[in-house]
Amino acid sequence: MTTPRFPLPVLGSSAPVEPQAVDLPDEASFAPGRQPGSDHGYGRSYWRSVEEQLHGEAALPHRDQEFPPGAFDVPKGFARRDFLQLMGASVALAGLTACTEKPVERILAYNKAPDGVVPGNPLHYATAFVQDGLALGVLATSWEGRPVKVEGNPSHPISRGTTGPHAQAELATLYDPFRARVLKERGAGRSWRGFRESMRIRSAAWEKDGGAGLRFLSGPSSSLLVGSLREAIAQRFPKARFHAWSATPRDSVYEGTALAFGRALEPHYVVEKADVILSLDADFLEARPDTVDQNLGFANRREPHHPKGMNRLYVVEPRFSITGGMADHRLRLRSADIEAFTLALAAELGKSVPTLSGYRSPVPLDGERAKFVAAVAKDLAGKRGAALVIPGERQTALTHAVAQAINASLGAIGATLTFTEPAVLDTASGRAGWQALVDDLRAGKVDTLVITAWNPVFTTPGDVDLPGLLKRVPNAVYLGLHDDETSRAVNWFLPAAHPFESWGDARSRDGALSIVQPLIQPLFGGISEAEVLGAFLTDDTKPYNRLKALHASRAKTDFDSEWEVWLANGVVPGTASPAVTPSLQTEKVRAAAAQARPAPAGLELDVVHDYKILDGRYALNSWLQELPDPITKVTWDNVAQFGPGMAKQLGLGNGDLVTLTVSGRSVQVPAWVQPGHADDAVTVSIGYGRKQHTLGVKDADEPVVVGHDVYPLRSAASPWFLTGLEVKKTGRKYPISTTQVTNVTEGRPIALMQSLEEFEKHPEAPEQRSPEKLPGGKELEGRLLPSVQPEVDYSKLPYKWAMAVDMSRCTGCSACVVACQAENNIPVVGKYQVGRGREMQWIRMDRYYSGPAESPEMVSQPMFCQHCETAPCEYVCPVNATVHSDEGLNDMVYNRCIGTRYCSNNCPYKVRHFNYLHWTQDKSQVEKMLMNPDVTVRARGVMEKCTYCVQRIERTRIASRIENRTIGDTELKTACQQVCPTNALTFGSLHDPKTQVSQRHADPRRFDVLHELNTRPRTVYLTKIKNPNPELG
Amino acid sequence: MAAAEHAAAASGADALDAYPLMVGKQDNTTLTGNLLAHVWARPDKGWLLSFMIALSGSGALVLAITVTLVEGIGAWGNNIPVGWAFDITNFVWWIGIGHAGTLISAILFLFQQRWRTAINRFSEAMTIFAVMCAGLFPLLHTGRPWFAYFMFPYPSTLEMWPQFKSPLIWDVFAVSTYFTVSVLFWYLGLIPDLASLRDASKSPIQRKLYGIFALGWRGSGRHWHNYKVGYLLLAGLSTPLVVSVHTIVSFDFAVSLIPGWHTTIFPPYFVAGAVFSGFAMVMSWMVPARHFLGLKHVITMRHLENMNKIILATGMLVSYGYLMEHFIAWYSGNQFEWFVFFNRATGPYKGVYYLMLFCNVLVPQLFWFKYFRTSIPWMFIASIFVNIGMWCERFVIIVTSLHRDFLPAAWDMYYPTWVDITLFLGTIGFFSTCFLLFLKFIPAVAVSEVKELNEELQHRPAPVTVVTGA
Amino acid sequence: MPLFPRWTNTVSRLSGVMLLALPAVAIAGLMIVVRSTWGTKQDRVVVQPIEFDHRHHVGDEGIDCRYCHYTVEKSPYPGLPSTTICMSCHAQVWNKSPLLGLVREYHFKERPIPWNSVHNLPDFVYFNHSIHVNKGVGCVTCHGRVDQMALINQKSPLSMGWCVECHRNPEPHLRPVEFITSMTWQPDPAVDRQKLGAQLAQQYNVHTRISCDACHR
Repeated sequence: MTTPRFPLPVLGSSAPVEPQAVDLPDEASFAPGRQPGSDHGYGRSYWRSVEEQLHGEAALPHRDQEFPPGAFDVPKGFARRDFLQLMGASVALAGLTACTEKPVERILAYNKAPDGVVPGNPLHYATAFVQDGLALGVLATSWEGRPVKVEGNPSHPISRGTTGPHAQAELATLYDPFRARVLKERGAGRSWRGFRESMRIRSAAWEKDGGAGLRFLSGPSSSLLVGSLREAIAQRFPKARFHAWSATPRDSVYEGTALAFGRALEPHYVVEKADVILSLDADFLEARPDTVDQNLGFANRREPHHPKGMNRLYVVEPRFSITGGMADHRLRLRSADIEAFTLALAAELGKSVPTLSGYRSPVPLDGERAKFVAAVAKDLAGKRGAALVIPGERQTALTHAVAQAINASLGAIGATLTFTEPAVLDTASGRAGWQALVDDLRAGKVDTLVITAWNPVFTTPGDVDLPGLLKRVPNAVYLGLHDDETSRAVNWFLPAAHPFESWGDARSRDGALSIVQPLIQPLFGGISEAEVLGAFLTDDTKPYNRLKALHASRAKTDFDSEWEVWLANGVVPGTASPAVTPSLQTEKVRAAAAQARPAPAGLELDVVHDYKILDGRYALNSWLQELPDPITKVTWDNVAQFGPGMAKQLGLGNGDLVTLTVSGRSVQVPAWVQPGHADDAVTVSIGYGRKQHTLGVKDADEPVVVGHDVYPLRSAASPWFLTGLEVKKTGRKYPISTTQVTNVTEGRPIALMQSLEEFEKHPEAPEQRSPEKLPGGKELEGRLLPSVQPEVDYSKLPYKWAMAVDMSRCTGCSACVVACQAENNIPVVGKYQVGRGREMQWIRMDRYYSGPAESPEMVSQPMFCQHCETAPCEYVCPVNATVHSDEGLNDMVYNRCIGTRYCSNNCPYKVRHFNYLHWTQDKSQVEKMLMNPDVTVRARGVMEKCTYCVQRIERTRIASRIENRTIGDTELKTACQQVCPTNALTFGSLHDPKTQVSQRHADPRRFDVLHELNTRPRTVYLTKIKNPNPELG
Repeated sequence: MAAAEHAAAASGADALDAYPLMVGKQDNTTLTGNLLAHVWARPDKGWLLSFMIALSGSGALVLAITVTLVEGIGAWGNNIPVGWAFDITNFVWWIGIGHAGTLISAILFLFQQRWRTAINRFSEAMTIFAVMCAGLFPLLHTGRPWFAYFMFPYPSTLEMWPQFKSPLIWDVFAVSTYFTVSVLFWYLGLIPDLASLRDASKSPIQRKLYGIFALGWRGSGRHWHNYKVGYLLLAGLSTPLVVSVHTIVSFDFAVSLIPGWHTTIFPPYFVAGAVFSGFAMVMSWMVPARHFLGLKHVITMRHLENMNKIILATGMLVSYGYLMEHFIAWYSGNQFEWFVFFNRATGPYKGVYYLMLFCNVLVPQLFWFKYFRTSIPWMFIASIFVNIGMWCERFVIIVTSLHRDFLPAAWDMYYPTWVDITLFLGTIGFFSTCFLLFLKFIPAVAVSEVKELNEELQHRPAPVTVVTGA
Repeated sequence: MPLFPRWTNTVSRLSGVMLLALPAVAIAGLMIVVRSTWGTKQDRVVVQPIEFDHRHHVGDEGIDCRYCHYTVEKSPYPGLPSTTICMSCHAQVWNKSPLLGLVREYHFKERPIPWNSVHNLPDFVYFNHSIHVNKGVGCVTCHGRVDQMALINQKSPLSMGWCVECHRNPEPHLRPVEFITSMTWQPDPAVDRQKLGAQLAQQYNVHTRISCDACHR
């Protein structure tokens, strides 16, 4: 961080703006201009126009489209016709631009400048991004009180400066103009005070019966503040009950540890120390708040030069996951068979490891699987103390217990695996978490239900009729960001404040406590969970004061000063939970294992959370919707993934609409042929098929539904997989927009992959030669081919920017794609335009398969502007709009571009993107607040591409030049490099041989994509190295 | 030498050739009469009908242009990787068609091919209209046409200059020069005829109107002398252009590094293709024109057959181009290069590819046989096919090379939208509109030259030789 | 009787000349217009909501620019004085003056003063004040004698050419940073301007760039 970090000045605490008791609140009262937190505007110039300031024009017109024009529908002829533009065009053509007088720009200065704010320089605030109760420390870049970018917090133990895609896209949710603004009782606008009043009246009755009819349903939370509030409520109403619900529960983790060690524990897999890793359907490389740290640990061991050597990863899973893509050996198996597989493994190990004797698989494994088990067992047993078995959240408690038993017996605990007490308050957030509530609802025992969990009506399994049950609840309250399915099933709806708008706290997986501080005043006067719970107490202290009071005891010396430090650092020191060394209940586990029954045969339905929109909570987040799925590359949709064999058998192709029926409930989903997918299983991801995209859009043509809702297929008893699936072809096709049509490299040396063995034999495969080198790495004078580009002498300049991508590390998680989108104001174009090949993301995460379709190997190759030294795009541009900078950047000058698209045609990497339509017009004022003022917002008809985050380079350069020093290696990071959880991307100057990027450029694995074209790219790639087990080879 | 050679051509050629350059015994009066007749005649139903159709085509063009300017290029089917599609295909196609005119009027003139005289006016007009259609696309295909003036080298307050390495800049100059010279050449040739129109016109308005454009031509000896010299100079000036323009257009592709574009054979191959398509287009228009305008006695089978011979010759050149492209692609051992040609024949656009081969390679072979060379319906159909084939060629070169280039992950498909198609058909409509107007108001045949030819055919030495010899 | 009267000869000749002359004149005219002060909007009068007089504050009172434009050394933007800064003096002096009525009103209503911007760079130009001020480019160099302006107006063309010329040869425009805000500083006539500039450039490690990304991002 070059700029100093400040805690947010506490002027105007996050008390919600009280909406008036009218149908629509006075818009002016929401004008961000009125709120100190969000003072000053949007776009390039940070001043906001005076009209807006005075008349609160910024209040967000509710007719704004959430998605950019043409997001879903074909551009209808003259839908966006703009004759002024046409006139302007003709005038300009006449060369009379000087005649079109621009209106005078207004400059609004502060009335009273907030301390610490230097207009034009962003500040960075430490806060936390919370997902299902687990915190990830983040830093928010804020321009005059307007957060525009989220980055990982380097001093946070889990984040270490990186995040996954969700944290990056969170701001798009914060500035979502469709967020609910009105507090309603049965659809009629009410005030927050009115709500508290009615609760106060009811509480009289609860005090009599101890709140017997009072129920709370929340998402899993690790907030100590929420915890304390719950306690307080429990004290006041002893009979009140708290339940937790999440569509993606981690229950089996805790049930498993409970079975294995007698009490629920949080496992922490120290992947970096493991030489051999077995993943039992565990997607531990998906960058989520509970796994971000494991990414880096894993990636460090994928370097062949790592002192402790490369690790080896075995994956057993039904679908093809990110983790499966990184596997050295992958066995596709129905989820239902994985339990048996685990037991078979235990049995196999039992031969050599006494503590594991007595296990047996309910079903004998056939040839291939038996061979796999044997090999894995041998490998694991050979690496005692450095072996690790990771069971997946989708797996049964027994699988977890046995897996932990194996870990314990292989001496993993304390070495590659540590345990702590769970950080989350609600270790049961699945069926166990809320079955009791459902029973009470059925019995009609509940008179008041307060829902703070995300949209349970949408996320409940098909066999629970929550809307029906809610009808019986006289007083149901729902706190939500959006006016969604649940809000229409309750009588009190409270618009929620975004976590970035309210005070709170949260703990990360290892227990480290972070204070969640608001980055901006509630844009729509939302209410935080803490405030809602507070409404059930007698004292209405502000959450901010409760928070300080709650943590006052943690201070060693002076609380107030330490508090400031905690806020600044984002982590409260010494709060990480101590590791516990539990003792394995060998007999219990063995007994439970003996009860294991063979899984019923037949086709299996696998339900997974979506890589992009999770359980649907990001369904309205256009950044994530447009993000290509890391594996399928599908945007704006979910698909039913079939194994190649099954697809052939059923005669299915991509986009064939099929009816999936399981235990009487059926939905229609488009089919997708997924290489490497188990043939006896079908995978669908939840969260799609929401119908509220057009909520509040009065003049919408029709409700827009994205994807297909598969929650109805889920069952409360077994949420993750069900056997007995029936598939029927409807004979109809469904259009799917993917960003990659061809999945193989056509035998071209583009994305290179080698086995460790080959690599050690001859580190420099011939096709890895970079153009400056001859076989054997001898330097070649001059060039292989002549070029029309003038030779630039970079030696005179202080920097020679370059990038390097280590494909051994890259998992393809696509966090970089979203980070780039957020940093560079990249527009969203919508499903239809993506289908027409007009997606705008500057990073294209290329994904290639090799080998047989049944068990392919996957390689992900982030592809973005290579900043070629002899760039083919430069000499063909007729107007010099793309030229070479003195430091080797390939500059793209938007305002000079006339849009001939010749540069893109001549770009062999096809990494340039063209504004075919005016993506950025018709943006609402809130959406504009999301724009990075340091980057030009591109207009229609200009080309754009990766700039190496030139705005960051220039800011850092100017800062360093003012101090008369040079830029340090770690000082300057591009957005993609900053976010990358595996440190696969490095950026820096090649002049300094010590920089990481220089070292990677010198690495024997380095190769230049399409070097034979003599483009001499500044972005180079490092071969992906795999470490297969010879026995399985 | 010129004289001798000419004499040989005049006498010998006539003797050998089955078809005369001119049917029947003509004198200046009859020629003036029947060659200008169609100007004076009232437009008949056929003309009006075809004009209406053409005009509606132009209307469609205006609509498509408006949509493009208002919506942006997004109204077309273009995407990444296919940044150019119909737009540049049409551009190259029209420019190609524009080549016949100058070739006939300039090169054949310098070679003293006497059969050119009856058809040069006709084909020059076509050149001009074709180049007008072509010029539309480079401007329209830019994302921000209102900034297209950035392409011109002028001292701006930005202190920025165009990228002179870019073939698109070369295009700007090549095409504009070609257009200017063609217009001058055409107009110069028109002057004597405009004068005779002036003198023959009945009403004073017509008389004045033609009078203005006739620039006071009196047909004095001095006039004729200057005229001849000027004509010769312009002919000399435009001869290199015939070759240069399409060479430079081909550089748009040859200079890039896209497999299927980056080929040294492009310049000759494109020029041949241009002449090929140009003659085909002339043929498609001349066959009906000579019929309806009663020009059969001056545009004889001799002319038509000669043109068919040229179509055959250039067609063979084009076929050779295809052959070489494929051979080099295979011989180079460059997998990217080879894949492009493999993909053309087997990929999603193979239909267009085979249509191209049929029209440009097979159809011209007909003209090996005198029967087809001299059969009006056959040559008309063939010429239509060649026009289609040459459009397909440009589409194949542009789209199939782009849609699957180097990185398979970036591959995608291109589908035209209604705007793309309307733009293309619209230009055809606009072209036809101009052409029909030309046929109505201006003698379709260079009357003065034909008269001269007539003189020449009767007694020697022909005045032409005197001038050219001088 | 001739078809056309005699005078038409002149007309035809003239029209011939026009045909060539008109385009030439038109193009030349446009180039002159965009370079004219009207084209560059130099010396254009921009009326401000409050009659703030730089002549008085800078000239007479000699207040340093940085007192009000307080972020000019550390931010891309010079920073406009918050109303509090105005009031820091005008709470004491002229605190009854009707001229300052609006200022007081904005201050107490907690509304920002809607100044009209005079120096408008296009949104795609990222000019950074701090680096220029720190490397010895004085305020007066671009903004002119502010101390003599009743109403601020644009003194420099602010065209790209104008920027680039200085970036190609900054030396003549450099001055010692201690005089950065001085309106009247003149180099000692004894020393050669170019030499002085070169020496300052050396001292401040001035390194102007003319790559596009220096200003366009």
